[in-house]
Formats: sequence, structure tokens, C-alpha cells
Amino acid sequence: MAEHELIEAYLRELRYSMTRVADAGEVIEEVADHLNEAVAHLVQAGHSHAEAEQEALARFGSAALISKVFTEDRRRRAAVPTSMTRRAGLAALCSPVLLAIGTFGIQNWHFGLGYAAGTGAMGLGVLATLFGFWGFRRRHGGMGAMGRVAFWITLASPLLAAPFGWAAPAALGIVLLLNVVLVTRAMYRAAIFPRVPIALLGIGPFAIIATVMVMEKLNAPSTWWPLSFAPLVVGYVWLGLLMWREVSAEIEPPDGLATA
Amino acid sequence: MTALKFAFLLDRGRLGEAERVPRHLDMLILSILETGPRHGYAVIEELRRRSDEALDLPEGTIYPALHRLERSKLIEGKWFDIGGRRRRTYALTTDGRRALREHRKEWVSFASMIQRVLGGKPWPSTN
Repeated sequence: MAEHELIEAYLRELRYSMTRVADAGEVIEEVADHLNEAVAHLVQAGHSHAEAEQEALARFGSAALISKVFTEDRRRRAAVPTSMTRRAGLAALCSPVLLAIGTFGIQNWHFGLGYAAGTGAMGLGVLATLFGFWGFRRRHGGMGAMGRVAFWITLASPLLAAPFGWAAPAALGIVLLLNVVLVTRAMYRAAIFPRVPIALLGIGPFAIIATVMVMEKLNAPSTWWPLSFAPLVVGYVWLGLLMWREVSAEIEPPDGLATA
Repeated sequence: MTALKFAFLLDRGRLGEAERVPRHLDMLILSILETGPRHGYAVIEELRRRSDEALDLPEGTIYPALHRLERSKLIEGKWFDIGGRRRRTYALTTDGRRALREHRKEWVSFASMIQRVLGGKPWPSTN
């Protein structure tokens, strides 16, 4: 058997498994170096070359496992939250509240202080949403296709809502609240936090809409209406507590350096 | 090593399953690189040595972790030519040192708390 034949075959298999990984060529080079060094050490320890190759490959892990871990990891950043990404996550959590307040204020007060406060809350909500997207991308490498759709909808939302005239703020609020569904779906797939609170948050808007429709059909008393918020509130508080309790690695300014 | 196993179990409730192992592996890698630049094989060998062979994971899984840490600017990789082969060596960045310092503090506090609850001597114990 030619020298390194097993390793060459493994590298071919790994290259084939990692076609979706952007820098697969460099990864294969690193792996080749690792395996060759492992073989050299095992041969030095007394193994035959064939045994050393088999042992090195067994210790390294199958090509399927390694390519799977690489592919999943591309969706994540280092599991080290920083203060800024933590704040971004909390801002994203606050954004639906701000958007809901903004929508309520603008719909109920068409001028004056109430209208100004509603507009302010709406603006803050949009900024908080965008900050949340940035933090997600920084910490977890993005949210995939759904996350990108949600991001562009957020940016375009003022233009999408403008044709509705006086109802534009309400339309804006609805567009951005529906974004919550897209974002929670992306978070669910990325498995960043336990999935139950994320799922509750995702189905929350649908639960509200479904409950309102059913209640209107049944002429149910309005006292039942708050119950429709239960999944959203439970998921929201649960996720908020998880994010709040997450420890961040504080990045401090360099010691002894003068600032400009 | 018992504390490390406990940490894996307890973290299950606080973190998503996808983050449980990477969270600790990232910190272990940063700790290894604190003593100087190393390539992937040397990192895994040092992990095995320091853990008295207790930490035994598929060696190839170190590379996604190294690349992830590099993307987050906590380590920096460079290519070198070694005996006709290309070798990538990783070194800790300033941000990486600070992240390691912070999580080391967190870990000592966590392990001390566990030890107190279990009723043993304070951690680390000298007798």
C-alpha cells in the first residue's frame, strides 16, 4: 500500500463533504498537516505506518462528523458573549414592545404629545431591531436566509408602510411585528437558546390573531382577550431572563494607552 | 475534572444544547494558547495532557472551534512552511486574553459555589 494512501482517501472524502464550506481548501491543508504529524508521532511510538494511519484517522473523527461540525459552526460565532452583543440581544427583545407602544400612540393620537411619543417609540423600536440584527450577526454569524429577509424588511418597512397614509404607522408596526416571527424562526433553527421560549415567542402573534378571530365569532366576553397574550408574554419573559443572566466577557479599553 | 462534568450537566438548563460544549471548549483552547502560539495538533495534545487524558474528543472537532475563535477575533492564525508542508499556527489576541481572564474568574466563582454546596473543602484546597 502506498504511503499515506488512507490519509489521501480520507482527505478526498472530507473535501467532497465540505463543498459548502467557503475556505474548505485551507481547512483540508490544515487537516493534512495534522494527520501527517499524528502519523509521524505514532510511528515514532512504535506503530507500523499502516497502524499509525488507521489510529490517526480513528482519533481524528469521520469526514461526515467533521464536515457537519464545520457547517453548523459557520452559523455561530464563538460562544463568548460580549457586553455589546448582550446589549444588542436585549435591545432586540425590547423592540417589539417599543413598536407596539409606538403603533398604539400614533393610532390613538393623531397630533400632539401622544403622537410625538408614539413616533419616538416607533423610531427607537426600529433602531433596536437593527441593533439586535447586528448583535446576532456578530455573535452568531448571522441568521441565515430568514434573518436576511427580516433585516431587509425592517430597513424597507417605512417605504412599505408609506402608501397607507394615516394608517402607515399601524402598517409599519404590523410589518415589524411580523418580523418577530421571522427572527424567532431563525433563532429556533440556530438553536442559540433553549427552543421552548423561542417557539412561544414565535407563535405568540398568531395566538393573538387566532384568539381575537375566535372570540369575535363566539361573541366571547372581552375579559378573555388578555389570555391570548400568554404564549408571547411567557416566551418573552423567559427568553429575557436567559439573555439577562448570560455572562459577558467585558472588553476593557487597553491599559495605559492615551485616547485620542 | 468532576467540576467540568458538573458544569456540562448544569449548563444544560441555562444554555441551548448547541452552545453547551462549544462554550467550554472555546475557553479551554484560549487557555492553551495563553502560553504561546500553537497549531491544531499541538493544541489537542496539550488539552489531552493537561486533562490527564480525561478530555478525549475527536481531534478534528478542534478545527471548527479554532476557526470560530478566529472569526471572533479572539485568536489569530498564520501560515508557516514546515518541511514542505503548510502549517497554520494560532496565537491569542488582546481581546482573547481579556475574554479568557473574565471567564476564568467566572469559572473559579462557579466551581467554588459547587464545592460549597457539596459540603467539601473550599476550592482549590491545599490539603
